[in-house]
Amino acid sequence: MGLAQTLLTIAAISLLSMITLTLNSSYLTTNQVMVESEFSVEAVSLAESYLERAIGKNFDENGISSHLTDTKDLTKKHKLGTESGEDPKKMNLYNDFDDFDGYTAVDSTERASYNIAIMVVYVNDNNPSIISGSETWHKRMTITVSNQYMSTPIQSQFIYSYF
Amino acid sequence: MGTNVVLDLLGSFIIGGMLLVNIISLQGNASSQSDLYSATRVTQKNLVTLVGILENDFRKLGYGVTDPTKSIVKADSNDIIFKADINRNGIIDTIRYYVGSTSELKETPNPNDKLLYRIENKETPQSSNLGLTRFLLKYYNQDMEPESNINAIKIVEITISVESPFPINGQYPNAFWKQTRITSRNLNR
Repeated sequence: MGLAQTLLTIAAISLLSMITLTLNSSYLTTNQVMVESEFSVEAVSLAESYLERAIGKNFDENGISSHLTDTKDLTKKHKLGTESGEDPKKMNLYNDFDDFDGYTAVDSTERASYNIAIMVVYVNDNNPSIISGSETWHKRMTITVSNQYMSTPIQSQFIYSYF
Repeated sequence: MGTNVVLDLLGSFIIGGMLLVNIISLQGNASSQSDLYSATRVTQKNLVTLVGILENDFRKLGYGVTDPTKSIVKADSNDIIFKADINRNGIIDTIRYYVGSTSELKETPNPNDKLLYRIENKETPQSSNLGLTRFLLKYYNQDMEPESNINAIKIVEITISVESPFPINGQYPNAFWKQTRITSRNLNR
């Protein structure tokens, strides 16, 4: 085999190798996206489960036995979360929406385990994307669900209002 | 023909053959991957469609029912009858979901897929083949403990698995959903 032929053969094999590598890399990326989307669907279902539990509760601890007419009567923003007598790990003891603030857990399905983190804040009356510096009639819950197979955690938000 | 020429020819046949085998293998891979992606996408879309239908009904479970403890009429692991004002017309509807048997879908290669039936009031059962392989219902009280007393059920957990009706590389791509739903938005009413 002459030098030219050898070089051509090497070039052909290199080209094929590059194509093979590119294709395999593309398969890998697509597989990763597919697996992530499968886990994301599950993560969304879990997030909605927690949301569903939370919106079945009262808006505020102070509004359980009486009707609230002034935001001054609401739980102070730095006191959102479980009250005394409520175990932060026992969701069934929660009696109001903001008890979920600070809740963390590991929830498992048949496929994987998911880390759950919940945050509740007061949000601005006119712009619910802004966290309020004081108590308002609107509380926003952010549920973050993540696991090792998801590059980006799922975040689900819900605004619970008192009116 | 000299020995060198024969060696050249043999060498190029071998290298050419290897390249050809590689290309054919690549094409085979590309084709099976493409089938897998399509089947997975369809399976996930089917799951989302199914969940959309279920969520629409289960979200309203107990809605408009004067006594929320009477919202659920039947509570089996794969058969539920509940009451809700589904159409928001002031009339309480009775909704039933139940799973058919795998023998109803003999025409699909997947041995586990079955139909999910929905009956609104006394209408004819509605169903479509979305590749459902599991529809499992669990019932809990407010403390998230398993509950067998229909009147004390506050939370329903729905688990759904959907698989492709056709195998890809001997496997059925699947998608999974697990969610809890409360039987009434306001448990304290």
